[in-house]
Amino acid sequence: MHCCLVPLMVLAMVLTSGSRLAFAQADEREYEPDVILVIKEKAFHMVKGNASGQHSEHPAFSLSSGEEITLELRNEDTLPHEFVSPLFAKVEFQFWGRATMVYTYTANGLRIDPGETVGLRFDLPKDFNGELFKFWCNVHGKLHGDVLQGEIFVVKPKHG
Amino acid sequence: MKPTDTLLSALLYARVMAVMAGAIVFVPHDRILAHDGASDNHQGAHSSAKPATADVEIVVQEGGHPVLKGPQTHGQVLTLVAGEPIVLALRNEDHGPREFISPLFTKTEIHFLGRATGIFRKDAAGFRLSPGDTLTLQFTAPFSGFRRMYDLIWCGHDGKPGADLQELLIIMTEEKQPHAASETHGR
Repeated sequence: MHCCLVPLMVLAMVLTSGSRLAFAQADEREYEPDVILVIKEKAFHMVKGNASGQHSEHPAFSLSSGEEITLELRNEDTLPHEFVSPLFAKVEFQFWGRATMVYTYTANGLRIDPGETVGLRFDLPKDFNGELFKFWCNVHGKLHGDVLQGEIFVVKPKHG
Repeated sequence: MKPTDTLLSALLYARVMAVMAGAIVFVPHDRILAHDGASDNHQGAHSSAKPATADVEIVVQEGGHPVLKGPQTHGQVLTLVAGEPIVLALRNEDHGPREFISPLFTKTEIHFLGRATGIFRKDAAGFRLSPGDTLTLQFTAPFSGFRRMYDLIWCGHDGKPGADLQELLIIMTEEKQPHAASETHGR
């Protein structure tokens, strides 16, 4: 009886401990995002983060000069999407994940394939003096004159 | 054998097995697959990501000088063929952060996998890697219109890329020679 019981107990303990470890690792993130943007239906949807400006036309987040922001970008669409900004010519950005570098005259950033999730962390410039920093998708949020349409995310200055 | 002894031995055996199972689960993939590129410690960011096998590696070892590894390398020169894909692994085995900056990275689409800091400037772009990190790049060598084009990769640190000439690597991109056509003409 004991000789049957022991291997079974061992098997159960190993299996439960192994699966717990595996789940813990899968959930592990090296960063804690302040903002989570889900990209789908030709729009950026902010599913985490304190939205700034209730009447804002686009998802927006407020930060002070020199402050750090950690974004998680999830492409839940069936097409690749970009996340670019002139800001990335001024500041460096830490990233986690799989993406493609986008380098243009007007804006730099990343292109994210369908199903991929990328973490991004960067500081706002120290001389951030009230201008808006816009991030958009070159594929679906192209500049039309001065008007941005579609997929746009805005970082606004924090007052007070 | 007493029932308590049996239970104790079972628990001991289970602990040993659990530790072994844990060790298998926790060994980072980049330790097992030494040439598979990016470390897999950031699964929350891309659980589906699987690094491609690198054709060439740039390893910055202790002391700071970069070393090229792979069949397309010769000393400090990496040879690419325009229009052909390449998988390049950047590895920082130094004690401090290291940068890999190049104008080449602005001339073609760079697909990357891993963890690093991205740096975009007017005429060059690149990555800063923390000690122990690996970043896998995948791109197509760009056409220049010249038979050969040379680019540098500056493997610097502390925002001083290429301060030492030994921190520079040369990338030579060659246009494919139409051997088959010339052989046909020769016959």
